Amino acid sequence: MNGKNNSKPLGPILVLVFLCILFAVVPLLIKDQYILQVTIMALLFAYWAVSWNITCGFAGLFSLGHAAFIGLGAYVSTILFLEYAVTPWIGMLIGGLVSVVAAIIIGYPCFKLRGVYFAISTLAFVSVLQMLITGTRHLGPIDLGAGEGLLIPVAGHSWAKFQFVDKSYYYWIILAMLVGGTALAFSLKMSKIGYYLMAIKFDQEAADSLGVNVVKYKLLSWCISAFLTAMGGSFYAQLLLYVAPDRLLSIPLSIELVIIALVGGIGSVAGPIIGAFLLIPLGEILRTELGGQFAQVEAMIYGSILILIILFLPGGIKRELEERITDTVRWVVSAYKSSYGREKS
Amino acid sequence: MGSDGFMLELDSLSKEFGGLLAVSRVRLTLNKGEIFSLIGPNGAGKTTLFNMIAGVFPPDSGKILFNGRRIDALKPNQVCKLGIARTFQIVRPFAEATVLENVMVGAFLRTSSVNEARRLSRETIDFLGLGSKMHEHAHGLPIGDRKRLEVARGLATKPELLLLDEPMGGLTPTEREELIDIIRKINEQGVTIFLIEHVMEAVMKLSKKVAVLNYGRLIFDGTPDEAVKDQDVIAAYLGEEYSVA
Repeated sequence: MNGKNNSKPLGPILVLVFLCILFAVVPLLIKDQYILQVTIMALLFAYWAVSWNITCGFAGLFSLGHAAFIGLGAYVSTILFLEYAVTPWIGMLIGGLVSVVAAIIIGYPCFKLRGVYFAISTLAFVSVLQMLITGTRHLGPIDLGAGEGLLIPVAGHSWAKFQFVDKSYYYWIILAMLVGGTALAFSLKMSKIGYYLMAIKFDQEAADSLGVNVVKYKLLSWCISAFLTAMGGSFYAQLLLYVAPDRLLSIPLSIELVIIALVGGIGSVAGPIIGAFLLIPLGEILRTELGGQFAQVEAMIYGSILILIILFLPGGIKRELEERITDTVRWVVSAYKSSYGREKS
Repeated sequence: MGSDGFMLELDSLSKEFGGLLAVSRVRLTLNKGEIFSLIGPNGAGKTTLFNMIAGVFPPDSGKILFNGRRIDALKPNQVCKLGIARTFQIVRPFAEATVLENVMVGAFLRTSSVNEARRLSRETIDFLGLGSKMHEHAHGLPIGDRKRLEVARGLATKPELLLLDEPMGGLTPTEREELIDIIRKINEQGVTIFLIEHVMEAVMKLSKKVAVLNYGRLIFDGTPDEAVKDQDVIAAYLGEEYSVA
């Protein structure tokens, strides 16, 4: 966490502003829709991993159930649009709220469970939701689409309908969501809430004895995480114009977020973003270059790379990068100082 | 407010674990501003008593009153908010956080401002003599420093009553002297102290009142000087070398 250098956070903020501007102009330079699509997916997964990290990395609630929130966000905004012509922008917020309600229902009784037991119960949550949707075509007057899913009719370029022909618009929207989510995560981490979540993560009983209302703060981080994740789900539905339970409400999607955050570096704000920008393009390159040639060879290579990262960089790539960069900066500074000193004497 | 003005009142407290009576009808009172010591052999129920006061589990029967208010149905965080902080016998620092961050968690009980929490924590850490280790991770500290960190964290919650569970355990004689000094200073600032301790030297130096627990029962409640002369206390806990003294 913080502690040192807290009096002058201007440097990192300038770097972040620069990065935001750099990312914002990417669609103006790259017109290749495929590359843009991959970058959008990297941004979306970075956003999800950042959201996931608020509950798991900060509070230690290891969730394997975040696909449930993605699915809820996607389904709620899509159904509201198809059945009641509600704009997906509003649908996105309602999807977030529905997810929060679901998060409270599943989270509250499960908070008593620790570690892997909590993880398993969240995993069950995804599976149950997936089976429910797959097996249900109609819920009262509402068409749920069962296993085939729901299609959103193509409407060309329309802000009101959250649809764009040019992928750049999706890019800017998800970039804005990622910046917003990251800013929220960062301010949470630096606040009283962040310290309390850290305390809960390391030792619940000790936190409790210091006046931390453990259930309240777990629930808070869990709900914020669910809300953000669901908004990403609505975005995903608008990007694909299609929702289906086999992908959106799946355990592999849940696990993908976890892997991205783990590889990038759990607990920090930037880690999940770095993880997403490494793994999403990697998966995509392997799929397009090697996919379909040999039996699943791309998946084998992807898996092997994951194992190597986890073996050799157990703290995540972010920590490794930081250490390397800090070392380099120190080396440069000391080299500069010694040469400067020599000139003077 | 309590009619008789005690800060802490334990009224006939009992706790059973699987048929074994860990604490049996214990009555104790603490006055505001004093240092009260509780001694007794291992397994006598001392920590169980602390856990009940701190809200870890409720007593099976009996009442706990803090400033005249019943607290025996409250959770640990609620008890802490009322002004009772505790340390653990086996220290439980937030291992991967720094000393400062550890103490700040405590300080946030009385403020939501990060700067204010940081300022209060720095003061507390300096007071405990850990100032030079402010940014070190808790897991790298030697046991003596971890014991102090435990006290600092509790103190940062600005308690009226501080429950110390064997703070001297594992310390060198020098470290003990320093901690005895610190505890006295904390008390001088107006914090009432309830001390569980095996180190008789610390008990004798710090407190004017001592209680002895044996097999969950209170067998003595008086001054330390009387305690070391009491035949029951000597037989149950202190051993023969104290009977001469």
